[in-house]
Amino acid sequence: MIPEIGLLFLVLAFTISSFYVFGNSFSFYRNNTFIISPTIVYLFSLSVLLSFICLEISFLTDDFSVLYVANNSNENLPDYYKFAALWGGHEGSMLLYLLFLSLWTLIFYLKSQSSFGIFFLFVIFSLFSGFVIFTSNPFERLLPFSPEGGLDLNPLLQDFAFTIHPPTLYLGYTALTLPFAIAMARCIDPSYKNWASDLKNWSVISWSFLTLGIALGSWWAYYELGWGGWWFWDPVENSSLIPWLIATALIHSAIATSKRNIFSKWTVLLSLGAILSSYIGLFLVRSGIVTSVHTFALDPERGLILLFIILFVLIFSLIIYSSSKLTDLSYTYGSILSREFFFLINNVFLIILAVAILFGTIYPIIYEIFSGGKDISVGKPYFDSVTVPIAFFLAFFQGFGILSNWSSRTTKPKTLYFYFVILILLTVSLSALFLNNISVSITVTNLMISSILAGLIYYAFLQIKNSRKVNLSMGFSHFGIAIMILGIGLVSSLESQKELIAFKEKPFELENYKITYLGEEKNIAQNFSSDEVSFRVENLNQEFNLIAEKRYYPVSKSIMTEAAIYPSIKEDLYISIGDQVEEGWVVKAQLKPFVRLIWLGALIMALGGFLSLFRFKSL
Amino acid sequence: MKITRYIGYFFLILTLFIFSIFFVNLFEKGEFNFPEKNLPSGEIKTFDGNLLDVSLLKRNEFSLLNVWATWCINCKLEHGFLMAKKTEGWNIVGLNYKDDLEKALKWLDQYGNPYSVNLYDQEGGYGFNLGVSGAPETYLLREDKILQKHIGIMSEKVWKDKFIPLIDK
Amino acid sequence: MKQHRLKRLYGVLFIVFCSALAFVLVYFAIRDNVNLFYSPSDLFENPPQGRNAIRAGGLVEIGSVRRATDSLEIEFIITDLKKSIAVNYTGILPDLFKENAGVVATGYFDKSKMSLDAYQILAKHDENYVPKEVKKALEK
Repeated sequence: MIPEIGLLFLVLAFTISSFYVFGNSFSFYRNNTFIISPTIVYLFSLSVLLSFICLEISFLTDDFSVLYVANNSNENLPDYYKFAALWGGHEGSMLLYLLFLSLWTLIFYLKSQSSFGIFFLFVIFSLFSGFVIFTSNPFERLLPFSPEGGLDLNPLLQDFAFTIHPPTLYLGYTALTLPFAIAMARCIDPSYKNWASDLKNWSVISWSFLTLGIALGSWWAYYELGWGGWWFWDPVENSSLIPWLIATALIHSAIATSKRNIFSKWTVLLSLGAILSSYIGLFLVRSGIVTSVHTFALDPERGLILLFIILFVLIFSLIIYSSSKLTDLSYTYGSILSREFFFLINNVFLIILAVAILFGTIYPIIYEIFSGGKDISVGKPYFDSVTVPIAFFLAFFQGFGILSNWSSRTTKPKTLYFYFVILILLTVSLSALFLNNISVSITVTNLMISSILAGLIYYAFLQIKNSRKVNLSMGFSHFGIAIMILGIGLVSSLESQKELIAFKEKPFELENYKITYLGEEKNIAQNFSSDEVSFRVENLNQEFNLIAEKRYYPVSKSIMTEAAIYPSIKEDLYISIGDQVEEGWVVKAQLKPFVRLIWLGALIMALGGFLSLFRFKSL
Repeated sequence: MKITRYIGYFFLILTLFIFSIFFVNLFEKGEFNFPEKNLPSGEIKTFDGNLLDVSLLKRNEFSLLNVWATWCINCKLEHGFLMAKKTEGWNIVGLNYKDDLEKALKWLDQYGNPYSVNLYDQEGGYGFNLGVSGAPETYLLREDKILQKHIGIMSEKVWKDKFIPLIDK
Repeated sequence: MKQHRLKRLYGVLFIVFCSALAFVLVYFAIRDNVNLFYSPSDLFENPPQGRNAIRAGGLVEIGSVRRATDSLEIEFIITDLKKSIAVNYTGILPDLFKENAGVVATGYFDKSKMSLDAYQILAKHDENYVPKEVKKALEK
């Protein structure tokens, strides 16, 4: 009974939103206004929430007569994983997506009351809820015959980071709809005055969630996939990175629009680009047209409908955009040292980066079509060699960009000279720190972070000296980037590894560590059994035991390796195990210096984004 | 101003290009119209150990061929559907794929046997000729033709969307 | 009036210049880093030209996996049931690697020995299904 009620609520929400859209299109056509009543918004959000709760109940009560539950859960699964299993597959994660969309709609309504904005949020919601109801209904029953047990959640997903990674990412994806809705609202309602600052604030929120979500995903991949990599340039990772890059560009462009009344068309188009890129990501993952560790089962029909939805959103918004009368101030930017110009640089490089990554991601599909069915893959080296130079310029111009003034207040060349002095001092002193391992990549890293830090330091100095307010939110975000670049640079140039067969009483060495294989123990947990392989690790000043696991999940008949990780800020010791050979184990031991800085940096960036909430006046 | 507009057009064309690529790819991958194929000929073992000529499976009416295995977890989920189809009077041929005979017999004993004929394809050779990529897979047969193929769990929805239209035709 | 036109021109030139640079960068990166997929039969009929790494996929032949006792070297044979090639790999195999299951190996092909020196082995997470490329190779 409960799944049917859940479906009913979902259909109710779909009906409310689509009726609202149709009714208001009509009223807009007649007298250029939109009507919105609080009851509609509350009823709408409540029904989505209830629908979500119904599916949660089916999961928690092990109702395996529901196909989706049977596919993604199992009676032996611990309760918190049962709860999280809801977003373990396509249908449920789409329901989560809808839940967050309705949540943002509610919050947006409470804060801004813009009936135009709500209209566009409802348009998006009706499209996606229709998609869920007609092609991927999570409440579908397996009647008349229901299995007594479920198939279990994919063991890779039975993990803490998994319980929070998709929700965080989806909060970010769905929040991207808000800047889009605001931009569209501005297009049909020229009287919407502070649209650009509204748009910027909402995109910062979305950006912060995306940052957190992507970082969580990277952290999860690092310890769960068992290879010690933190970014694989997997199509799914890329399709979360592209919206993030566009959102970053959008924030800057929206700032310029709200402060200087320039780039306004570009801001509108970027907000469209941001959601479109997130939908393309959704499409790539859900239709199964790219091969990736994350992809859901191949379902071309679903992909086709998704493609029509995206195309509809594109054409619909372009029509609205082209009928709008957006005007920029008569000039675009001031001198070459003005902040306007640096925002232009920022946007150009970010968009180029996003396009280059998108190109690498879909190149296999293009190639397959033009070569008559030949399969190719684009490897990590492509992405590395394309992103690093572009990222270098982004970081290099960032420092002075922070310092520059809007063209209304000239940026003195003196500032530039001082900036370069600080930059050189910083670079030299940082390279003194890494003196014993100077390499090209270390130097590049050094130059990148020095540029950012020099800008930040000088900025803080100038603001305090002239007793102006320091923009903490901006400062933290940019500082986070510097920390992340430092982490990436150090781990990729200093990491070391060793692969061998480890035998008892035959220790091996990795840099300063001496590692001995001790033995293994069989262990039985609630829903899996495992071999726990323990290692003794000795360092100059410490000794400890580490346990790596080989897990066997009987329900899904899959084997999983849990790496043994000894984390610290300075370096991670990462031991993963392969097969058992005679007396020993195949072992891969890695040393990952400063790898934690990558996620720490992301955390600081997101923190910076959330800090801006405190200055969120229109909220 | 014109130049900005050109950049805009460039991005629009790029987007449309990407979309057309996606469309073409989906249509190539998707089995929106399953091309009719002949049922590959050959001999195959049944559960009782005899060799059976595939041509003996030909029927004038529609019948189903279901590829399954005891190691296939999704097969457990569609088993109920197959049992229901059996009681509706459908003729279902079972092709046990890359499996262990003993386990397979135990499975049928335990959960019920929806199949009229049980074929045993231990090495996956016949399945290979058929184009099986994994289990479960279900084929719609008539005479010596394969009319439809579904990869994955069978459910009433799949039945209604992919099979009924062909049967009603 | 004239001056801001000039400034706009600078901006446009800057965008065009950066895009051109990026285009060149992408062009060279993609040229050198594309890995073509081959089935064992393809490798016999039409061996790869050029220095790029390739990907080869098929089923791991039953009983073909041999492992050195003192190192991590592994040798096995992949087949598309028509032709087969040898694969050499040093390192840890993925958890889902097993005989008679689909696998995709990335590495450099040695024409004289008809073998692949792999630096990466991928097996699909889901045990029910064969990797997409392998399936296509098998159906050919």
